[in-house]
Amino acid sequence: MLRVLINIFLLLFGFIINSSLFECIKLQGVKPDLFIIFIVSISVLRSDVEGAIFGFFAGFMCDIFFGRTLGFFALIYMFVGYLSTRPFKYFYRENYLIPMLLCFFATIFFEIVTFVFSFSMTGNFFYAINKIILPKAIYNTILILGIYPLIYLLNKKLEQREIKNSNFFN
Amino acid sequence: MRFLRRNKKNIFLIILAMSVTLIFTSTFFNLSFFSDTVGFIVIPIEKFFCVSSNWFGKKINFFIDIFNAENENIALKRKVELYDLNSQRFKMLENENKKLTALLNIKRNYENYLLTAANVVAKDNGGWFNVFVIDKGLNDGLKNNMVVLSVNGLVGKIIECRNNFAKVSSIIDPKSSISIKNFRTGDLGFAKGDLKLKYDGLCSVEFLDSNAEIIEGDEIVTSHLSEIFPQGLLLGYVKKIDDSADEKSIILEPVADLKHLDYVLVIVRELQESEDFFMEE
Repeated sequence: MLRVLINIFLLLFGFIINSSLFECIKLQGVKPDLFIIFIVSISVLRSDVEGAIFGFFAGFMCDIFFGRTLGFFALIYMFVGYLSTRPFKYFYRENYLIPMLLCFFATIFFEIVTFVFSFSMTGNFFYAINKIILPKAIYNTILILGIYPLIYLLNKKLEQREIKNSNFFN
Repeated sequence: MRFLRRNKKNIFLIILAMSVTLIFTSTFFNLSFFSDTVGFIVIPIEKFFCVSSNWFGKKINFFIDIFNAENENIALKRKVELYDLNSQRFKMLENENKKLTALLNIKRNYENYLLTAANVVAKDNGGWFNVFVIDKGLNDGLKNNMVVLSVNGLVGKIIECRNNFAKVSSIIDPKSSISIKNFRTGDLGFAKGDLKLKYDGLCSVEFLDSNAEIIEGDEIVTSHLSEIFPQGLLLGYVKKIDDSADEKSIILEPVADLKHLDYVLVIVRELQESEDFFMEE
């Protein structure tokens, strides 16, 4: 239950920071996406399904406030969450390299899908790759270095609590 | 959590089905329930953040400004004197204008509108679009397709209105397209958002007549053909004309500062005679 509440808090926190504070740290019109960082972290620390559920609701928030179709971002974010741990089966959570790699490719996947579905007729793909997609992926990758340890600690505390409260003979 | 782990595939499939059906149903049915509930929770928090960050920004600016307050005061006083002089002149001109238009029986180009102010509480977090959220909605008398202005000029229109918030798509959004007119020559065309130009706060203009005579600095206003936008609202000025390629590309610089929007004005309706132009809270 506490985990659900904390996930809801992360959702609200991510959305609010994303849409207000991150306007100030824009670099050449590109700002990082906190949702992808959260989704990848949760997907790595917990499971792909939990990442997908978090992604679905994160995308749903984006759809409600910024999207033109309800469900569009929800679908893409959900796939980001579901696919993020697929390539690696066994790894240490303490290894920061894997979340970084995953975040990089997840951002690229997310942005390319968004581009294809909304601008494939009009936009210039190479321009988008150079000026939007790659900078954003790098920005996210740098940012996950700071945020992943925090979520890791949070998750550790929660898991300790869950183990303490769980009844083994039930 | 054990439930999650056991029915992994099923849960994933259920969410997948949910989001796909959402995409299709949302185009046919009105799913305002979700948006209203989430908006009810999120918008007050957003508003709090927005207002408090603005407040802190102002406080910080206050200490910076205190150093050059004296010089600014002198300059401003001089300016006020100038404006006083000008306003008297404008009053005379307005009276004259009224008399002359009454004589000529022309419909006025710039009509007066009943406006209401709203804070910008959230800006697009994707980087692809230029959609932002304002903190007023159906409860405050706003509706879909209402026109949004800044103090200087046109900003865009409301694309979706919910109980306590509304989504606004600005004129530089890559999906927006507005019917416009060159004020000087009367040529008709479209102002379209562009992915490339968006980052500099610019948008592109295409004229129906490819040989339309246009020069840099031309004033671009909304045309009489649009059903949403009233006629004659100022969009901006032509910044650059690129003739080198096969297709002429014209770049428009909006007068509204779309990169640093804090609050906007929404046109509620046209103004009746002898009515104050600002809607009271």
